[in-house]
Amino acid sequence: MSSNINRKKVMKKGIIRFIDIFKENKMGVLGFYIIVFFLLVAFVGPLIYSYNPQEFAKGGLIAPPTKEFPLGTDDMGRSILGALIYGAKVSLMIGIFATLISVFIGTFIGIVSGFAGGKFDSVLMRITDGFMVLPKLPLIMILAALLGSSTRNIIIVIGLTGWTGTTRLVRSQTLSVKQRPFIERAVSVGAGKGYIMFRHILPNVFPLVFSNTILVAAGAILTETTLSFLGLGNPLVPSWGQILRGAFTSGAVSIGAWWYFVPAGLCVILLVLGFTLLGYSFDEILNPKLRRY
Amino acid sequence: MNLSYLSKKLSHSIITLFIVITINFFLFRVIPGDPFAMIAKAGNLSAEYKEELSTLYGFNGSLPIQYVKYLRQLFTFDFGLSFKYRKPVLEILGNRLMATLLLAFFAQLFAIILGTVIGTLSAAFRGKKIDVAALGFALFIYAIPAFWLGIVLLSFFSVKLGILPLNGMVVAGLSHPTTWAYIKDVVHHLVLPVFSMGLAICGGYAIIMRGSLLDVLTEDYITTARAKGLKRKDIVIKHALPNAMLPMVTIIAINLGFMVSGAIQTETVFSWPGIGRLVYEALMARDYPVLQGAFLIISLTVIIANFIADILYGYLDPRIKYE
Amino acid sequence: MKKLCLFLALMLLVALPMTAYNSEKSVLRIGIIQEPDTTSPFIATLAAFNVIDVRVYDNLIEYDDNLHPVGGLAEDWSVSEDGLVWTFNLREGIKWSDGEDFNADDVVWTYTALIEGEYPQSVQLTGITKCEKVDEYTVKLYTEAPKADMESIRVDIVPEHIYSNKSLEDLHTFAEDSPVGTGPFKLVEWKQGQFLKFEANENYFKGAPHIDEIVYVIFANADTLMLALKNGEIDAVTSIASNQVEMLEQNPNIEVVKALGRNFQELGFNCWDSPESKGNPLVLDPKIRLACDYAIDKEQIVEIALTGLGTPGTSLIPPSVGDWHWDPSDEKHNYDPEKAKQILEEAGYIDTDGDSIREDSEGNKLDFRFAVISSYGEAYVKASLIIQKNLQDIGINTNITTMDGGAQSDLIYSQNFDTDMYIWGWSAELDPSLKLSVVLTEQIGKRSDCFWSNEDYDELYKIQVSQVDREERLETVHEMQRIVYEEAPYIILYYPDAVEAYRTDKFEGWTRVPEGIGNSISQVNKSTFLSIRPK
Repeated sequence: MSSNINRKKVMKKGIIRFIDIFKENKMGVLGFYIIVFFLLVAFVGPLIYSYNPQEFAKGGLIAPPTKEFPLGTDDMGRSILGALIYGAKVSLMIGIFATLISVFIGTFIGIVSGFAGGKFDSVLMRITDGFMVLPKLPLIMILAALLGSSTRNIIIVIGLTGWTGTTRLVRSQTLSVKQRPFIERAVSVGAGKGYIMFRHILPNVFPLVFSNTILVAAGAILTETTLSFLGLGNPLVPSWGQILRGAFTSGAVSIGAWWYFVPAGLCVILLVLGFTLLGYSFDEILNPKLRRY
Repeated sequence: MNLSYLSKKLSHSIITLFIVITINFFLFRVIPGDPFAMIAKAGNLSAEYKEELSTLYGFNGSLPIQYVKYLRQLFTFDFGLSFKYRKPVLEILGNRLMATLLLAFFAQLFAIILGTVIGTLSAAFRGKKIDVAALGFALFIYAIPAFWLGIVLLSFFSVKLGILPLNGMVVAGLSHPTTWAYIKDVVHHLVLPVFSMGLAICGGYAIIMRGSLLDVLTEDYITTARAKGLKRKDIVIKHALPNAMLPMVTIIAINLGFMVSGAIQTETVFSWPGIGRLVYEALMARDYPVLQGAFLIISLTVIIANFIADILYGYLDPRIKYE
Repeated sequence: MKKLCLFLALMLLVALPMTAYNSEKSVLRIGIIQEPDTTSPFIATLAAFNVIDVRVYDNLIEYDDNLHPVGGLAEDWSVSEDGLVWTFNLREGIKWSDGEDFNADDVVWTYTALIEGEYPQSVQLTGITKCEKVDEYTVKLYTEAPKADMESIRVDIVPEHIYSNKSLEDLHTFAEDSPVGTGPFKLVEWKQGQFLKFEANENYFKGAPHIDEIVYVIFANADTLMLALKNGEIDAVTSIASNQVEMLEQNPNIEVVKALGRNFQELGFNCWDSPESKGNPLVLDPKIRLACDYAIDKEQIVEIALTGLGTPGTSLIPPSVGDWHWDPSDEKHNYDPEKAKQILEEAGYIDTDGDSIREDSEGNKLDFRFAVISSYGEAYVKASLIIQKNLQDIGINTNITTMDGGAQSDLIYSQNFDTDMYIWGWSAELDPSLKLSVVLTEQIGKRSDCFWSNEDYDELYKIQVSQVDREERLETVHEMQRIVYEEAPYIILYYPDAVEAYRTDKFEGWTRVPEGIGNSISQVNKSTFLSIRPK
């Protein structure tokens, strides 16, 4: 009973300390603000600026910015600013949910494999290698063709192909945690394998997983953008990748329609940058070797 | 480095290859879309024609039987016929693979050099303005989608300045009088795609280099060197860097898988006649034999690269070397 | 410092523009995105194959500049009284590109192989039973019934001396690297993904071309294709992204040609009246489909999906094919949402529960699945969004699912037609027979993608196939189109324009076929390539 209370107190203290250190990390703070900005755009934006993908040709087609359309129009005459705002949510959602899938699979396999060891570990690792070695984008493209390009399927597909990195990371961390004395003690006391993995190993692996997750999210957002650009995304839903696809297929670059091509790209870059900054700052803080203290 | 390490890594590679071959086979049998029906529709053709094609490609028999047949064919390097081109898959892949390897090799080289420089600068001058600038640049570059970067560079160098070509590997249809002229033409066309793809990759390398070097710089022997009064430049370049490069080796090998993703994008923007574009076209045409072949060859390349990296690692890392 | 100089020198070397093309030869450079699939007429199914076959091969009968039949390899021809035997007199003195003589053996071999085997060009010879050599330069073709489209057949004649030892099986995989043909050009080099290079055939029987080489340059995207045309790296393009037209027209050295295209794109319905069909049975009601025709704003679709480069659709045979096209005139289904609603109301489809979706008397909702291919460029997706809105306005709900061509094909042919509506397209030939055949009952599961069945239509088809009298045949063909228009298994959305662009500063002699209104480069008529010359 008391151990539980102590545990919670210790965790709380750890989190507060973490936040204090984090506030000092300029890189991380910048990343954090960027992400908050886009979250606001994604969830509050639609309340301020209304955009209806079904209203075609309100402005001219691929028309330059005007007062009514601050960022010009796309190839169906719809406001690009509107598509950017509504697309923020799509890009974020796809990125985050796909990441959750990847990280869940990766962490699960990593811990189980690392903890079990022996032949089981070997087999799992070879299979993981097999997936890691398959060319990722073509694999995603094929799965997208297999399952169809609805938003839900894209999330699944990106999620199902992004777990190998996490697995390796978690496994090697599990291996080192496994050596620690308190694990030996738990085993000798007769604790079940599941209990050990969940209650002891996972919390120790968690910080690493957390920073890795954020980086995986950055990758997932990039992947969705690329998939849409290649024409394999869902054209019915405005994501930033879809905007870029529209720009590319309508030859926007050759007619100089920068408003179609540049803003969406900058948004992607900025958001991915935000996640990356955050992720690496976590890495710096949590990885003892990188700390300056 | 001893024999047991070598043989362990070798057996790992072979098992991985086998798993890849299996995944490869079943993956393509499961995709919806009958390529023969598609070919027939494209040509306004009859069902009889569809039957002819099915027979030609031997798409009969249960899945396990086809799997065994597939394995046997692989042993004789028979990758089958392309559905679309009716030519041996190896022939189709061969032409395009060379182009991509050329692009990928130089892009990697460029990315490694640039990434190492940036990462080193950043780590060596940690906390100072150089670090912020270098790290910032690396992170920014890392966040740019490869195709977007390609289009921006294309607009600037090929369109605005007009000094680099818009498309292709050579000037189309030109009969080059000498081999040197041909090489010059290819190099001229390589510059922008290599620059574009290399830039897109170097961000990741820079960050890893930085992390790895920072790791090494906290080691005891570095502190000792500094206490001894060695110059910072010497410490970094002669003592820290060689050790920091080790993880890079592994990362580079793993990154080869990403080369294809970057290649698909770069090749689409610059009309580079490589395997990336081929994969995309083959997917649209449901040209399974080509897709299977491409997947296999790319995976094989990555496996071989990983194996070489492991060997190199085993050779360079004293911990393993002196086991 | 030294390293820096070396680096800069290298950069300079690389950045120097390439030496100009050898200026002694005249080379016409055409940019394309789709490349052919093969060099053999027995294998090729892609439309892009015409890049090769129009330059390298000839047919017995070709088309003149007004798309009327004129002698090609055949000098003249005649048909017997009963219409069952055709006699072709071949031209003498024609040589193959490898020096051998062209004669009746080549024609007989080609036609016999196509008749006995099953190849892409075989379908044009339906009804022909035998091809027989009469003498060195005369050939006879025997048919089961009078064949109305005999003069429109486009079959590439291949050299017997190259093909004679190939079995029918071999033809499915045999392809020459540099095919031997009688045509005005020879294919000398094909680097896949990069370019195709043709050299002029000095001995072409209609006269040598006035240019030395043609190079078809392959581009991976529309942007660079356009930029290359703008800066003069290529001389012509055969397809343009619609909103680039305006920009190109402003360039004084570039001419944009907008011709009537020979394609049509349709909104197709699942008309399969069978228990096996997975389609929504409500779609089988022609009244609903008719209402859709009135509800869809085809003008807006052309405006937005094609940026104006097309014509709103009506009947199955496109207007560019000539008088085969039936113009509904006063029977036309204009854009009239009120009329559409009226038709639905009278047919008993009313919205009883206020959710803006109509139901039938048993409460089944007019809620349909709409498959849309998103990999053929953006026009389909844009059109589908407009259609969705149009139908929403009259109380029909649609659920769009996007997929690529393979997946949609699978859905229809292998999954028991597991959708209710879709968008697809066809390219039409100069003779209407083939296109009329796609909605025949007998083509269900084969060429037909709507699985519609109408006995009257089938009867009329059998009649027109043998109607050698043009006037009579016109009437039959028009009646057939009218049936399709009223029953609406397809709603023809639009006929996209065939848009080309070429530079006017280096070459002249671009010929439009038909005169004044057609396009030039991607024609089956070789005129442009025989008349084009350096300025």
